[in-house]
Amino acid sequence: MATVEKTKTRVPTAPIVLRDVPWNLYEELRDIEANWHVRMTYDHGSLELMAPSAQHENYARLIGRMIHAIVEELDMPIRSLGSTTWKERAELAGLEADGCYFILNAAGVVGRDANDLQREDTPDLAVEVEITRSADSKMPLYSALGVAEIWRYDGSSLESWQLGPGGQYAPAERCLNLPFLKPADLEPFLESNHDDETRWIKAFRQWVREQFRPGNAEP
Amino acid sequence: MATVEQLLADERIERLAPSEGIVLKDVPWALYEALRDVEENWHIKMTYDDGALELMSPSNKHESIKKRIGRLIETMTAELHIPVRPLGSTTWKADRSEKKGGLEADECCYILNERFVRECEEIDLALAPPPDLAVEAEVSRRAVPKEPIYARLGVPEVWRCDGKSLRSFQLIAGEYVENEMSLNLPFLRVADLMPFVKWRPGAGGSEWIQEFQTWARSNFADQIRTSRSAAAGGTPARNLL
Repeated sequence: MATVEKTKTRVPTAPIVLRDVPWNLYEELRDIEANWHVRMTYDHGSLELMAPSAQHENYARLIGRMIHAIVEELDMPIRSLGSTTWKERAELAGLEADGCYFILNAAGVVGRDANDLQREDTPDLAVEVEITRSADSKMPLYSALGVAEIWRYDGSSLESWQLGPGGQYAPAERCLNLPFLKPADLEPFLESNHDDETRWIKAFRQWVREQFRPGNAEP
Repeated sequence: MATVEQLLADERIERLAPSEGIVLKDVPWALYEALRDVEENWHIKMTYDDGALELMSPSNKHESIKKRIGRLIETMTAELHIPVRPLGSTTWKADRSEKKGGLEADECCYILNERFVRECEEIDLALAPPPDLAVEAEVSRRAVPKEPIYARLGVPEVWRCDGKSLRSFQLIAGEYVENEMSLNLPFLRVADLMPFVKWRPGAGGSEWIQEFQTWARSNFADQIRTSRSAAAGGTPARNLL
């Protein structure tokens, strides 16, 4: 199957929230392939439908590019599963992140099929862009799923929220999956001009090399 | 990332105007019905047409225009002693053909055919005629057009208000055609209601409605006399579809 990346111009809309939706109805709706771009967040009968705006998707994509640039420059394994649906029927929880990654446990998922991962594993890192809506209501779902780290970006600040022993998330200064990285350090790159993405990503890679591969600034 | 197939499938909806609601595709009829049946979600408007399902939360502006038009219809029909059965945002389903559809109007009522639903608490479209008049307050963009569904239901008259104008469209040979005069209220030039629909201080209060009553009484005095001797019986008035 050929794959193409497409940025759709979407009118920003408020999410629609349906209540009292049985789990099987959510699954049936989610399984319809034609609606892959509609984000569906299920929480104990409450089903939120959202179509992310172009700006939302853009940020998600740029953050993804930065994550990939970092792991590539530093030769770290990664497995990324985009906006795959993560469901836990026993918890009546289902959602899609704006991006999700296996980094800390990348070695553990080598050679495993994406469908198996979706069924059996939990990503190490999920990204939530919060310009359309806050991700506050999704945090208990992420907790139920057991996702160790969530990057939250609201258009100005990027924060790493990490799952504590009590099942609650708290912001941390340094990332969990990329412990050398302070998420706030990525903010200037998200705020800068991205009209020429090639230039932008090259500048970012240069920064990564200088910061985390000292004495090795050239590739 | 989208596959080429997914992008091609998207094109039908992409060609439609971007919506302010959420649009889902390939939704089976039974799934739409199951979602619609959940009482908790009565305030979410759902428009279904042959697999496409648009869900919308109405805006405040939308709600106030539709309520004002509803009040005007009820006030006018009361003033002129014209029987009316208002049905607000009841869900109407066109499910007898292969291309199934379902929607809620912003306001709807029976006027010309009111007597054929007078005795029914629940209206079954297999037995009763469709509503005579549907009102659409169109302040938001819609992806799934409602007129094809109204046409399949056989709704004879649809009023469209975009906040600036109020227009009447009548079903003729399966299409809606604009008409200056109302079908259900044949003495009424529908655009004449617009000054009363436009928001202004006091709109919604009793002064506004009294102004409207005065206007209706003075313009349509002979209607009061005529409607008092309305004929009974006969088969429902059906438009040529």
